[in-house]
Amino acid sequence: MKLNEIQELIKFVAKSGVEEVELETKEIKIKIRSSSKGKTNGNGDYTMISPAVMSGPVSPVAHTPIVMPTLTNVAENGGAEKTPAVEKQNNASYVTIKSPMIGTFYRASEPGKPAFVNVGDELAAGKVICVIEAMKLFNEIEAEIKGRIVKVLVDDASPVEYDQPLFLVEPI
Amino acid sequence: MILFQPSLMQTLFIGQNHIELPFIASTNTYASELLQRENVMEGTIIYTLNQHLGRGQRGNNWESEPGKNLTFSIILKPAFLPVYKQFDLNKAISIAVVDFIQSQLEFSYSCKIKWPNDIYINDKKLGGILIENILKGNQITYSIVGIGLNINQENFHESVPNPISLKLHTGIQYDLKFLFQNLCSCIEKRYLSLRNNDSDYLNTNYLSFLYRYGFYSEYEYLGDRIIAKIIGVADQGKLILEKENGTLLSCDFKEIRFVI
Repeated sequence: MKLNEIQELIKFVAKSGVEEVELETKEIKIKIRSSSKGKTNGNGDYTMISPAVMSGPVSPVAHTPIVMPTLTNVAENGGAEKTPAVEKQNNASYVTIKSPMIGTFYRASEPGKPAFVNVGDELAAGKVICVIEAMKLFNEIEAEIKGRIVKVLVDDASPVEYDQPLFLVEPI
Repeated sequence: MILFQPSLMQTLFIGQNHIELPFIASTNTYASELLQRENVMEGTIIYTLNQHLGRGQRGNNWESEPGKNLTFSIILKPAFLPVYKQFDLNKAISIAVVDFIQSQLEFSYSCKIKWPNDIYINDKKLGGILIENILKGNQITYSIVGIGLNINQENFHESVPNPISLKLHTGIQYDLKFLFQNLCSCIEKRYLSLRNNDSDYLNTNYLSFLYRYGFYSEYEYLGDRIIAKIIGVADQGKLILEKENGTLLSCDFKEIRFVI
């Protein structure tokens, strides 16, 4: 299956209003989930990007990451108390903190120590939120904004790429 | 006994400001906490004669007898260095430490950098370098350069793998004050050279100081014993090895172990 065929398929699914499509051929398995706007309940939901599920023998095409908007409910958000006007802007108002480098992501200064930050914690600019290590050089990453951690997007001790989202933060 | 004697210092900024601590587990940890609270002048040195537990990489500690070794942290502000080139700082500091040790040795070439951050004399470990950067966005705001070198210590705990001290190697008892100012001068020189963006010079020097550079030796790569030779270090710090059949390996430090 060619890349443009997959793109066409995504467009088609998005237009059709169907929520989920699974397609399996000899070489590839694709699952596309869509979030039609009409179904948003406006209850503090936000849109996050997640890679579509792909498996099967790997062809060059299969290396191309396909990202699809999916709808995820975040309980910590407490969006129910907010006015509709604020809810509408929720998607846009979250800020992702991205990795400035390739390396290994650590949530604590040393194994066994408490994490620098957890979901729900408030951040002030200058607070250390994680460590990224590359070739035994340790980088303490500081928050640049005041906000609250909504989600930690990467597991402790896993590799991260340049510009990969690490945290989702609600500015306050 | 004090380590720091202003009249001896011959540097412009490294060690011109200093903080002496009576007793501390790790000068790097102290520096990191200090930088959370306040701005610190570039070149500030935090040292103690009583560091009993140096911090190596995550959880790997090493021991040091009080008053016998050089253990300190330097605070730098390499804002000129892009995040992706941070291994260059490691190169510059490693070269500086080898410059310094070689100046104390009769056969200077016996001191080398064991990639990525150890200092060796022949096949034994003399010390190490631990660099911790503080990043704001895509900018390195501070680097904490921790240096630990075994100088006058003669006995090591059996759990320490293949240690050596300068004294064990040469038989000489050293004056730490004198060595300290000498090391600060070496570091300042190499740091200024890095700031002047002299990366070709830096790379050539780094490779010439690299332990096992250019000849076949034994390694453990992803669990397998292999024979390979180091042929270079990539920009982001990965070690490049060539196997006997010509295959090239680009290694993260977790993937490769020197068999010594």
